[in-house]
Amino acid sequence: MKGVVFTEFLDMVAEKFSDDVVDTIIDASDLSTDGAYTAVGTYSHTEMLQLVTHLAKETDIEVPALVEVFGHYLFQRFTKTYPMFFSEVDNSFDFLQTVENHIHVEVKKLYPDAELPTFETKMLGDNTLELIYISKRPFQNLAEGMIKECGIYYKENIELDVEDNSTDDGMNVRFVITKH
Amino acid sequence: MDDLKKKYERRVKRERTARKEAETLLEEKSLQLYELNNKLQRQTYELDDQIKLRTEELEVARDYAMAANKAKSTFLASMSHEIRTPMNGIIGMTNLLMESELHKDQVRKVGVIKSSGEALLSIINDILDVSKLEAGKVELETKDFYLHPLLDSVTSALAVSAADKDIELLTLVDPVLPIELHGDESRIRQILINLIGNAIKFTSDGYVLLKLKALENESDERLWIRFEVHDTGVGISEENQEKLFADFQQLQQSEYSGIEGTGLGLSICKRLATQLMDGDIGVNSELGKGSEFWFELPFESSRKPFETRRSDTTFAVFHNRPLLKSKYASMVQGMGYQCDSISNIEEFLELSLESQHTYLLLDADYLSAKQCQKIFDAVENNKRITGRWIGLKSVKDLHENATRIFDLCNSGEINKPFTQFKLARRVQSPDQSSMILEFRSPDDLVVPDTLTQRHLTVLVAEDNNVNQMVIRSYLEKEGHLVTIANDGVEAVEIFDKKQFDIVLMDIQMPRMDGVTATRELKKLMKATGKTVPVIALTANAMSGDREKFLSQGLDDYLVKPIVVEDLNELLDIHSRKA
Repeated sequence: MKGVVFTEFLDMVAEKFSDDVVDTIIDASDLSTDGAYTAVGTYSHTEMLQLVTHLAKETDIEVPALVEVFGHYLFQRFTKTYPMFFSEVDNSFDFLQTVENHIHVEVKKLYPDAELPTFETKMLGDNTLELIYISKRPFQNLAEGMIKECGIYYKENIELDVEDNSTDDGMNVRFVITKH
Repeated sequence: MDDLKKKYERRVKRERTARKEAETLLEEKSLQLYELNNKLQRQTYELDDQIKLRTEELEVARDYAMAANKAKSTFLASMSHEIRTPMNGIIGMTNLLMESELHKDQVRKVGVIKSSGEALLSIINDILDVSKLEAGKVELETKDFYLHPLLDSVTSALAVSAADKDIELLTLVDPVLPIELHGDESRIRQILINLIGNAIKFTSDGYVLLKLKALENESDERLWIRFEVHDTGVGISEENQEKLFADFQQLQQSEYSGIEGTGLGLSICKRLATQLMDGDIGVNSELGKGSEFWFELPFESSRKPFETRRSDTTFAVFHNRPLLKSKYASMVQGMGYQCDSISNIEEFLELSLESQHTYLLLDADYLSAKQCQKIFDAVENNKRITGRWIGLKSVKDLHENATRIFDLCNSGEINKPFTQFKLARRVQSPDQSSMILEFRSPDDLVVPDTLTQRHLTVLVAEDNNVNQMVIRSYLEKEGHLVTIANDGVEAVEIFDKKQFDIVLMDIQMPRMDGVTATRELKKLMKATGKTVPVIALTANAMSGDREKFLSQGLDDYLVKPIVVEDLNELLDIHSRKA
């Protein structure tokens, strides 16, 4: 998992909760770098799972809810750190359809070893988009949060219908996004 | 406490900001790197494509050039071959024409035809040589040979052209060189004739000197000899020297205008010396200061090492031209004799009466009328004065005074070109045993004119009318009886009916070629029990042809255009065998 996810996560925790909470969940987890992450590094996704689990314990909020919130947060951050991806289109459907074939391509340029999830998209109607999230890691809530934040960013009223088809081999979640 | 906390928070924030900036920077740089890398890769692909394209183009061009070059060589070889056959007719008939009764004017005209024909033939031979060398079809024919007779025969061959231009042709051989060598004598002769011939062409005054030296080469067991041809000619600019040894190069220098040639001579020499004989060739020259063309060849160690000649023989040399006098003196000294250079005729005449010199050398060509008169006066006074004189005699027609002087030279005369070998032969008396006396003179090496007086019956199988005529006249002149067959089939028919002493067989003939016809003849011979030599006539004078013909049942071969002396020699040899 890319380091930027970790740094942004810890930033969020510090911002939404406090630096002390950051220290607490780092101390509680068994981390390869003792919690010193850099955005350009690559770390095991199990470290993120540990951090999220400990944050849930600390805050009494369910893991899925926390991860979804983080999805919102991360999307916002991306709009600031990588504005060029967002200015190219003017609506969420167009944006979501660029993720797989444009943004991920750019990411691969910077990080050839990055293991990215795939987002297969298909327009089901004028106002309906199907997006299938396939990943080895259980971060569909992260995806969900990011998709929802995407609607907010483009000032649209979108609704998500989630259908989890995951197996033991990996995640396979079908989002049907409807624009109102 | 709060202040401290705020202070640390500010520090942490600073660090965090710095880290994020660093990360952003790193990403930017990474992206740049990625793009540069991509660009490089694209360029590499483009270059690869270009290289592939160029390589393909080059391959096509190379194949084309190679095919063209091969076609050129084949064309040249076959053209030369085709031209040689009619040349045979032209030169042969011209020779016969010259021997018939002609007006003076006609003799001159026929002479021009002959020399033009010979010049053309030599050009064709050059071209044939180049195409054969290019095709790698020339092979060395090495055998033991004597060095000095070779040099004498080369200078003799060029004596007339040198004398026509009033140039002296001289040889100076390092006395440490062995007298017998093992190598391809005819190829060395070819190079020497070429280089010396050129030197004569480009020299209008002075001399051409052939100088031979042994080279020091400790890393090579072979004996290396350096042949140098020095001239006092126009010289060659440095720029032109580089072009000299390339094919078809003739120098565009005003000094050389009016000098003809194919421009192949030096290229042939280079290929012979370097490709074929493992040697080297080159030139040292300066415009206006003459040239030195040289080549160096390795020889297998000689079986007859040189024995130092010790001689009490002493010479006095008189010459009007200091340059030539010093060259003559070096040549005499090079033979192991003592030599004094005499600067005026009075001194020469005085010394002639004294006894300190065994021989006195005199070049009558250069004497003035006044000097001649002084000589005649001195002889008038004392007849004995000429007892030890050796005269150097030009090949040109002599003027009256010179003729008189040669008659006076009681110790004989040496025909120019003046070489050390000729000098040694003149000087050494029979009781002084020396290896030099073992040499046959070049004159002896020439095929004797005294041919067999036997009249032979000769069957000539030859399809070309002109060649039939030429061979018939050559043979009939010697008194032989000639029967002509127009092709192989006819030859076999005639041979079956008549008795012959010898058969001359053209190789390329219609209906039945010479090789097949020979096979048929040999069958007939087996039946009758009488062997008759069959000699191939061919314009294909490639190395190895002899072996080919012999293996095909022929007894010998003769190259066209037929040289009358060669023909007679072969007839002589084979008729004696029979």
